[in-house]
Order: sequence, then structure tokens, then C-alpha cells
Amino acid sequence: MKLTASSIRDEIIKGNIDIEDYILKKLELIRKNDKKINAFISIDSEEFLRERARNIKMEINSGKKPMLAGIAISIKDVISTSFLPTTAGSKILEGYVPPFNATVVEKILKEGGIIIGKTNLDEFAMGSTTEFSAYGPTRNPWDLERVAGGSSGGSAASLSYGAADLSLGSDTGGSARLPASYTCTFGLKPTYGLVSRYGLIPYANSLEQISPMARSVEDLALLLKVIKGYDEKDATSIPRVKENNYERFKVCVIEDLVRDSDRPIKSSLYNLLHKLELEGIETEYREKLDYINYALPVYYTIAFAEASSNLARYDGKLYGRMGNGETYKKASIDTRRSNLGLEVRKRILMGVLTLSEGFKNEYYIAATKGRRLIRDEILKVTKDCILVSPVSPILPPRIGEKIGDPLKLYAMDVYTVIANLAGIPALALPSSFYNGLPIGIQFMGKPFSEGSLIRLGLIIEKITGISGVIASG
Amino acid sequence: MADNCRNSKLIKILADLSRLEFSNEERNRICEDLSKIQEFLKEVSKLSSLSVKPLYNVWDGYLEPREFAKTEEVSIEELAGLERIAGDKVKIKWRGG
Amino acid sequence: MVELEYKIGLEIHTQLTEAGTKLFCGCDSNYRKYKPNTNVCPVCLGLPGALPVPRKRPIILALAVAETFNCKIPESMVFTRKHYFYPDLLKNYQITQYEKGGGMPVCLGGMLKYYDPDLDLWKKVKLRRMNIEEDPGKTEYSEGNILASEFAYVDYNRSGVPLLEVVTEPEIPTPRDARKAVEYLLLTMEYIGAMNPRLEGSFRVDANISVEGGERIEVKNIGSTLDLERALRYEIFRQRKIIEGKGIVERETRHWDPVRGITKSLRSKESEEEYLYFPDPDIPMISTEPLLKEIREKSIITPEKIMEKISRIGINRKMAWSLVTIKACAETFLEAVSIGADPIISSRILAIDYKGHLRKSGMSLYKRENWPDPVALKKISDLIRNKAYTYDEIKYNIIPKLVSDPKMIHITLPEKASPEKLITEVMNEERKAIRDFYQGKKEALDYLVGKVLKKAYGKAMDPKKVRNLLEEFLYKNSNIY
Repeated sequence: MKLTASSIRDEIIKGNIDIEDYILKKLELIRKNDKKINAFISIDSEEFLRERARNIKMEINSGKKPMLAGIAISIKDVISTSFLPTTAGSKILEGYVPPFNATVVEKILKEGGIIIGKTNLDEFAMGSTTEFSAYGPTRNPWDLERVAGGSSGGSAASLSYGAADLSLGSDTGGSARLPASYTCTFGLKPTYGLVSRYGLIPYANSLEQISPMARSVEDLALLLKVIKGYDEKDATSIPRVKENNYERFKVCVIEDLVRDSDRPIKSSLYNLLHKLELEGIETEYREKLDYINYALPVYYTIAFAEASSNLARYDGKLYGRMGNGETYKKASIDTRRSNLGLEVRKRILMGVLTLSEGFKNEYYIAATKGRRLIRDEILKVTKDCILVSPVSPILPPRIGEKIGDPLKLYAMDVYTVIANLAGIPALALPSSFYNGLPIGIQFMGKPFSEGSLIRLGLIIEKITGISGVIASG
Repeated sequence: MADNCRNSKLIKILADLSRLEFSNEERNRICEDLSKIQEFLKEVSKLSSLSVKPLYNVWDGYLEPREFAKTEEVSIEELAGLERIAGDKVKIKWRGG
Repeated sequence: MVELEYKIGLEIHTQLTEAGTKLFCGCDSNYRKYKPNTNVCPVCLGLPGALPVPRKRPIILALAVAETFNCKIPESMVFTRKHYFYPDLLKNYQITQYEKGGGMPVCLGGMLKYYDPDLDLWKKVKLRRMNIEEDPGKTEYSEGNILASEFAYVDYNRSGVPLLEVVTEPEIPTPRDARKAVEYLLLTMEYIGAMNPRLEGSFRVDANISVEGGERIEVKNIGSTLDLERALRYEIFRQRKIIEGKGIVERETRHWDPVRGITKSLRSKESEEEYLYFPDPDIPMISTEPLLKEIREKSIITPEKIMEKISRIGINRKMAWSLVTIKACAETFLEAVSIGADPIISSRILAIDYKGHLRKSGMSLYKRENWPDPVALKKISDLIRNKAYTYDEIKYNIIPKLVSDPKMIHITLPEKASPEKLITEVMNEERKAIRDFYQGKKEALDYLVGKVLKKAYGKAMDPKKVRNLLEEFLYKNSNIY
């Protein structure tokens, strides 16, 4: 049996797997491994999970067939749960238990999913390696000296060592796809507006989407089916979505989106493309993406601006950690200084810069103009072909390697931010290994073409043979 | 520790606006970073003179406001904790602001 | 000495108390009946991950107001975030519509026409803009002292309540006009169904005054139209004095103290605050056309329209205003007329005599149930029209009864008594008073009138008629006495 959520779920429904046993095995796995990997910030209590397992068993016995029946699911700690604290990887929300569930969490619970814990992330999802978490970095199960990627590193790692069989991450500039590609797992950033953001603690509202993460394409599709859909609690959620798939597959690769990656990554990509062509899938090679050089600065300008606004509320008034000070101003400054990490504070400063009167036109407004240009170009390209590129230009770096230089860190996102800027869906999946390290490739389609991406993903899974893989050692 | 950051003034203004504070040590650490980041972001300023409409909502979408009313109730004591509540009201350090 | 000229502009913040819900969530728009911090939800508490979703009704009401005042309404409206730190502002930004920050308000310029009842004139003042925004929470300070209080105590029931901010151009001619204009604006919003202006805190005004030779002063914390006029008068006087004394009036913000009747300096506005405005990425733009279509299909009710309607029935403008100024009164009037009550008689009863009695009784003038049933009004006006009773007979005998029982439909007609008989009785009994009258004591007549009315108690009697008859009688029979 493949170690995919879909097959486990089928076996559970058939009665071949006992949910309680299955969940206890997960807890055992976490107990043995999570100290060194640090994928989880919080785990639900054994008692609570057992009861949940029993309840779902009862449901199944009464003839129901919930879509996620009993599957162990981990949730990035930036998504609100009322039964576990939601820290956003920050000290400032330590102990904060939301009085509500995110819409996607409600949907998962309704379909019988068992949420075993909240996973580690870069603080407030700001980072590409999960090294900026206030709860310690998450290590890559494939090589404990290396990062698991970020900001959804914990989610990816939890899948990778088998602690969870499905996971929810979030993707603002690649935060679900990057860790997926570093841990030989799968991540899908949906079309903007397809999945409700209600309950997602925001970093950059106009760029991010909650993303299903898993160990196979089929699993991604399963989880996406459960969590997607119009939500009246999210004004950016799209009502009346019409799927918009490709009639026939054509894959485009643009040199500008490959050129600066390391050699192993390039080889992996071209090898895979070659195999795709052998399968009969048309591949087109192009040179330029006109606005590629603007993608990163446009992305970060907008992201920092929105972040500085979204994080203004954390001053200890109503929830989370409280600082000390004689006056309101001093107390709020102390709260933020003592409980927000340096990286987060840096980004807030930059965000404030881009929005302030003297600089707004040349930074924020200019970036939003750039965004339109980039979006329009990408929409044009993906109109008739699926865009392929590496997920990361480099192999998973060692812990500490990238966080010294901000520009080096940001450069890790060069291929992934495009999908967020353009709002289009992007699927990241493993393509090969190099020296024992996973390499991931991403496919980006036109808006609402998730169906096509999944079908293409299934074909690629067959080609690579990599699916349902758990990290060894 | 001496303040050898040439961006100090700008950092102070931005920090004030966002209720942040940095120790001298922190400021020295991030000083160069902030210059680098500012330079890097400045690339976008080349686009500011274009007569392109800024894109705020990625689909240029419209929202249809609706009549639905339901929202979740929240218990303020549970949320804020008893140390923040005084006689039903939320107590916040003030002293003139 | 020629008095220095001045300019007045107003920013009127009105709560859409009747919108039903808050602007971005389903909590109640009228928070006054709730225990503190119980009319709240994740959205209006600004909890991480909660999202603002504009509700239809507050937006439609705001657009209706904009339509009424001939606003230039943009194709779509855009909400912006305005950032500042304050205990009552949970997200540390307020969602507003600032057009210079990438936003688009509900009205970009219009005309506030208002009625001045003392001059019987319609006047107008240009509107600069109107925008919808959310109210923050309500803060109290211990020992009431905003400067020294150790803690701020906040009730977030009000957080998120929809506000419509109406900004005029600085061309209001006098403090009195300011008052009249705001009163008319509030009355209009009441007629549209957007707000109840008598609810405490449902509106506040910030006034901008500049006197010739000085800079602009902003006065905040004006909570009533009476205070508005007082505050403006005070400021004009204060600023004139300074300038005439060769002093300097610098830009600043002042605070109106209604108890002491003065304005106090708050802080100088040397630099504009940096609010880091940008369009709220959680809220896509809202197209106004379909909403306006809905509004136009239903036809907005305004005081002006009702005044016109009443005037067309034959009531003069000032009387029409007297009826319109209390919605329940105008409604009663129109209903009574529609079933055949005489307009002139009914208007006089309602706008003058009934209103007067109602005021004296201490009952609310604004509750429809305190006004008479239109059927009763019709009956009464018929009686007067058919000359069965005089207006004054009804006024003294029926109206007080109606006020104490407005639901009364059955008009118990007091027996008509013949005054002549009673006068004869009184004349026989009150010899002394009669002698006094002939001796020149005019008050003796009043005394005699009173005696007759007293005897007539319970029966319909017209005091004027009694007086006239008594006088006639006395003069005719002076030789007898």
C-alpha cells in the first residue's frame, strides 16, 4: 500500500485500518522524531485525539463516508484553531487561543479529518527557511543539518517524516512550494480567491492563499476538494467559480526562469521535460519574461507594505503577550520589541517606508503598477500553456547559511513569487534527487486550472516514480 | 555600543510610526541590511512614471455586498484573560498615551 | 469698527444607528442596549485572521444620503486603511474611504439644501465629500481625566459601527446656519431610515473656523446642535478678540467644553499626521450602479419631499415644517388627511396644540404611539368643520384627553351647555364681582369667566364665547346693577 493519504483513507473506510491505532502510531512517531526535527509547535492531547478517532469510527460504522475519514492532518500555526493555540510562530501570540476556527479547519473537521497538531513556521510566515520561528528552526528530515524550507517548513517536514499524512500550509511568495520541494513532498498554491482566508493570520493579504500539502498529487487533490469554495466571511473569496482547464497540455519553459539556478536543478528540470516530451506532451522553449527582473522587488514591496499594516494590531491590548510601560505608547513599544523577532521588525520598517508620504509613489504605488504588468504578462503566457520552472534556484541550504544576507534570502523566492503576483495556481512536486537532497519543480497554470495541473501532476508522478515517499533515517 | 549607522535618523522615524524600538546593537545589525533592502526595493521606482493603473485586487474584482448577518460570538473574558478586564471593560495602560 | 469676517466648515460624523448591522460584521449597529463588550465578534475585535466583509444595508443607506444631496457618486467605492495607535482602535488602523490614499468615497461633492424656518427660506451649502468608515470603541478614563488616568477602560461594543462622515465646504455663513444645516441633515437621515439622531452619541461635529487674519482652528467634541452654535459663537468671538488685539491665531485643534462653554487647546497641528493610507487588500471595490438602481426603484423619503406634499394640500410652508420636524407628527397628519380629515384644522391641532400638550406631559414627541389615531383626528376635524364645536372648545376639552390616551378613537362629546343660563346663574351669585367690574376692575371679568367655566365643568364651553357674552351682558345691563 502506498503511503498516501488517499490510500490510507480508503483502508480506513474499508475497516482495514483502526483509526485509533493509526493516530497513536503517529503520536509515537512524533515523540521519537520531533525533538530533532521540530516540525510541531503544539500537539493535541492523546485523550482528545483518541476520542475524535472514536467519533469518526462511529460515523463510518453508521454508513457515512467522510472524505478525510480519520486522516492525520497537521496545520501550519498561522491558521486559526479554537482547540489549539495559534502562535503564527511568534512569541507575541504565545498562548493565544482563537475563539473561532478558520473556515478551512471547519471544513476539514466536517469531513472527518483529525488535526493532530500545529506546525512550525517562520514568524508570521516571513521567511523562506523556517529559521525565523520564535520556536526554533525546523530541520529537514532528509538532512538534519539543512533547512526544511519556509515558511511552511513544519508542515512539509511533518509530511516528510510521516507524522502527518496531509497538511495545510500557506503560500505568500512560495511558502508552501519551497518547503515541499526541499522535503520531497507536494504543495499546491491555489488560484487567489479559491480557498477562504478567513482565519489565516495575514502576512500579505493580496498575495497569499492557504495551500494543501501532501505526499502525492492525488492527496493534494483530495485536500483541495475539501477546503476550496466560496466563503461569505472572506470578501476576496470568489463566488461562482468556474473551472478553467486546458483542452490539451502544452508546457512552456522560459529561459529567464531557469538561467540562474544551480546546475543540478537545471538538469533535473530538463530531464523531466525531456521525459514529458517522450510522453507526447508538447513542450515549448522561450527566452524572455519581460518583467522578470521586477518580480522580486515588486513582490517584496507589496508584501512588506501589507505586512506592516497587518502587524500593527499586535500591541498587547486584547490578546497575546503584554509588555510593560508607564504609558500606552511605552507599553505597546515594549510589547512589540520584546515579542516580535528582528526579521519581522525589519520587514515592518520597510513596509512603513514604502507607504509613507514621501516614498509611497516611488515604492508602493510603483510596485502595484509593476504588479499589473507582471500579472498581465503571466496571464498571457499561461493562456495557452502551462509554465514550468524550478521551485528554488538552489538546493536546500544548510541551517544558518542564508539568513545572514537578506537579499540572498529573498532571492530564494525568485521563481515562486510570480504565481502570487499573478494570482495563478502553482503545483510543486518532486522531480529528482541530487546527493540525497530533493529537487522540486513547479507548474503554473491559468486561473482556475487546478484540474489541469493535477492531471499533469499525476502524469509526472508516473514518470518520476516519486510519490508517497517518507524520508528515511 | 556606539551608533555607527548612517540610517539612524530614518530608522528612528519609521520605528516611531510603527511603535518599534531597536537597541543600538540591533540597529547596527540591521543598519546595513536596511540599506541593502532599500536599494533592492528601489528597482520598482523605475515603474512609477508609467501610466499604468495600480493593481490592488489581483482580479480587479468587484464585491457584491450582501445582507447576511451571522457572526460568531466572543467571550471577552476568555479572550483577553481576567488580568485585562476591569468591570466588563478592557483595561489598557494609558497615562496620557 | 467693521467686524472681521469668518469662514465655517463642518465635519459631521453620523452613526448609521438604524443600519441593523455594523459595517463589516453582523453585530448590532445600535450598541446601547448591550452590556459592555458583548456586542462583539472576531471581525470587530480585529482578531488575527478575521476579515472585514462590507454589509449591504449600511452601504445602501449611505448611498441614499448621497443621492438625496445631489452627490457626484463615483462608479465604485474603495476602502482604505488609516493607521494610528489607540486603545479604542483594535487593529490599530481604521477602515475608511480616503480618496487621496487610493480610496474612493461614497460622495465626491454635493449640495446640502436645508430649511431655515425662522426666515422661511431654503438655503444651501456645498458638500466636499461624504465617506463611510467604522467607529472605534468607546473609552473611559479613571477620574475622567484623559491626561493622567493610569488606565483607559474600553468598551468595544461600538467598534465597527458604520459612520457616515459628511464634510462641507467652508462656506457656512453663520453659527446659526451651521446649527440649522446640521439639524436638517440629521432630520433627513432620520427620514431615510439611516439613523435616530436622538440616540446619545449618534452624531458629533468637528468644526473648522477661521477668522480673517488668522489661521484655521479645528474644534472637536461637539455633541449637539445647540453646542455647535455655542461653540462657533465662542470661537469667533475669541479669535476676533485676539486678532483685533494684534495677536496671532495659529493652526490648532481645540476641544469644546460644554459645561464651561469654552474651547480649550488640545494640540497644535503643525505637521500632518502620517496615516500610511493604502487601499484595504481584504476588500475589493464595490460597484455603486446596481445599488443606486435599487435605491432609485424604491424612492427615498426626505423632509423636503414631505414638506412639498403637505404644502400641496394647502398648508403654508412654516406650518408644514412644524409638522415635518417630527416624523411621527408628519406621518399622523398625512394619514389623517388621506382618510378625509381637514388639512388646515388637523395641521393646527397636531403641530401646535397637541405638540404643546405632549411636551408638557413629558412624554416622547418622537414615538408614533404618542400621537393620536388618524381616525380620531378625522372625527375631531369633522366636528370643527361642521361647526358643531369651535376649535377652542375642542382644544380645551378634547386634546388633553387625547394626549393621555392617544389610541382613543371614540370622541366622547361633552354636552353642549348653553352659556346664557350659567351666566345668569353666576351673575346672580357674584354681586360683589359685578360691582367691582363696574368700578373699573377689569380682572373681575376674568373672575366671572372662570366662575362660568367652573360651573360648566364637563361640558363643552368656549371660553372666548363666554367672555364675549359676559361683556355684552354686563354692558347691556349696567343700569340694573
